Amino acid sequence: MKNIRYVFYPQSIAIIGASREPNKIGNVIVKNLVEGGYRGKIYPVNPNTEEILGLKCYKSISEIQNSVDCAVICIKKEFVLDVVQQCANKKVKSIIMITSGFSETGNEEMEKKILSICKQNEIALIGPNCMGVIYTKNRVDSVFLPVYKMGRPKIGGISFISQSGAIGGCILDLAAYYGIGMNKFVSYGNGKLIGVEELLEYFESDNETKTLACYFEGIRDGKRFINALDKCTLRKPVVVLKGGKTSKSAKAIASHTSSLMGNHSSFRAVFKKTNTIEVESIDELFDVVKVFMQPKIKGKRIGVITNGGGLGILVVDKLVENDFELSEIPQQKREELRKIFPSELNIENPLDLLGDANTARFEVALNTMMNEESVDAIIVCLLLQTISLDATIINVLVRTNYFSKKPILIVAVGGEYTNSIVRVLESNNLPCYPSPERAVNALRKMYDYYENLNHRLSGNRKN
Amino acid sequence: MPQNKFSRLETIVFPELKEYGIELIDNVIIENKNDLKKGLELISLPCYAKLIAREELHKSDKGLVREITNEKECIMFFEEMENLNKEKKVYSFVLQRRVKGVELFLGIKKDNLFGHVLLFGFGGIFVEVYRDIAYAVLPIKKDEFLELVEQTKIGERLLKGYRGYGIDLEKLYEVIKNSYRLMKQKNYSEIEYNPIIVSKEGITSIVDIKIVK
Repeated sequence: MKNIRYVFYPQSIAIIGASREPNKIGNVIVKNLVEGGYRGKIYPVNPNTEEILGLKCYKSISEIQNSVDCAVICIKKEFVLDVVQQCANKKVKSIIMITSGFSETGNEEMEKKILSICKQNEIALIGPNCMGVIYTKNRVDSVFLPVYKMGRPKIGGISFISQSGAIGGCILDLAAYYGIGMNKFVSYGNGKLIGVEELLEYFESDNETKTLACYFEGIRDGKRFINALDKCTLRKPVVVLKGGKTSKSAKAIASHTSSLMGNHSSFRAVFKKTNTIEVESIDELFDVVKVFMQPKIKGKRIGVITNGGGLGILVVDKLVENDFELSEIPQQKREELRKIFPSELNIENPLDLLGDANTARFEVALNTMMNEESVDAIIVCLLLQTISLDATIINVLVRTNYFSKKPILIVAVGGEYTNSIVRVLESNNLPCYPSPERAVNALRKMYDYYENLNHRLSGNRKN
Repeated sequence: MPQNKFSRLETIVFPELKEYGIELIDNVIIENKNDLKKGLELISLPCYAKLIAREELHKSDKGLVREITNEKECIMFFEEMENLNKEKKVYSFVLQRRVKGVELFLGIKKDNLFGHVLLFGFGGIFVEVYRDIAYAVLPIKKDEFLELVEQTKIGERLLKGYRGYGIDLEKLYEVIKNSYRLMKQKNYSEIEYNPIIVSKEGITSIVDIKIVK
């Protein structure tokens, strides 16, 4: 499916079903492209309109003189087949079909016809029944959710594949809200021609994508899926949220094996085999995807800094539960710190900077952990409710993180003030967590991924 | 080893097992009350006596299994079962060696999407209660199987020599390989060993097997 790239890197996009009327899908898409700053050519197509948002409108796709790399189709399903044929005649490279009402509602016949035209003409088809595509770098945006209702994420290294438009919309909006950078987004809908299998194959070699996240309920081809995952996870972490794990039908239990198998066990086995990171919720998906913005974790010795004793203790409990270790602060370092810190401050790990800690004290502690060889990752607990700790901590954390060669994770539990600081930190690539367990869980998943990856790479070399 | 005139259960119920090198724990089928004494000598006391439906080697929880400590007990159970078992073609009376040890579970199921899926973990009648089971897609390499064993609580402990018990990974791996081959060639949808017992002496015995064709 070599033409998939035209979905993300089109020089020109035609919107078939473009509309002048606000709040019509065909209007929102044109608007998003124009106002979002898409750099290629935009061709609205609608036989009844002369002009849309200042752009010349074409009666049909054949009227466009230049070539069209991508056609976004958002017309009534009755007209879709004709239009797809016109696209094929025009030698369009890719189609994003928003229109629904096909195999998902039992209308298999028409979808089959569409698929066969696309296959014959090597058109990369996303959809039907999908929400489209976003590529943040060149502002390709066929997602029909208005910008004032759903934010667009900034440029980053995370790409997201979603079977569901709904989940896709939620993830994009949250990523935009927290300032988490994304690279590409695809909602693939019915995905009979291009589904999760083909997209995994595509994203394996997409070097701009550093971390891949997926949501899906089903797949088409088990062997191909395993193969694609297996290769992709060697190049980048793949985080999967799977829907539809429970079986509604209570089958008669013929054996222990059957009753133990459940619907999801085979998927779990595949994820395990392929070093795919499985998550259980949208929250956890974000938790894990965020941690991979950080440098690779190289060992299991963690340094914990806190200005709230209890918060540090909870972090330590979770670390121990997850087989992490606490770094030892060397004697010489302790003595140096003893000269700087107040006498009542215990120089231990977790390093409790006490309730009156300010940004300066955090900076000393952070630098210590950063330079200490026995620390593989740092968890910083911020109790932002105290009198002494304020927003100046942002600069210190962002600067330290920028130069850091080890992961830094923030635990900040609190209300509005805390969250206002969390948002700034996250938009500066610092992963923040609203509880100790969520931070440690993310760190553990990161550790396991790299541990398994090393194992697989060294095993592969042997063979 | 039971020989000559006694048949082993699996040769009647699943004759194909032998060809694939899969063997149940020592057992003999007793057709006649007069053979009990000889049978018990071969199996040695204490042992288990079971009445087993030939086409379905399963469900011992209907009071059709008894622990036998002496010959008299065995004769009484045989007579009791004989009344139940008028149709000898349907049921077999089986004497089976008793081993003590840790009960493990091993199952393989053909999955529509991914081919064959292996289940391994803590076995016995409470397998669904404890659910200490790990899953893997077959085929599986030996080191991957080790990882799978490590994923279960029971496996992790056995590997460290829990309470003097060990685990014979080679033997289990052989069973998996052979069963996988059997399932593919015969196109069976499911095979299950529960329990497989690992004894302190390090012996691995398949106590019960179930096949879904």
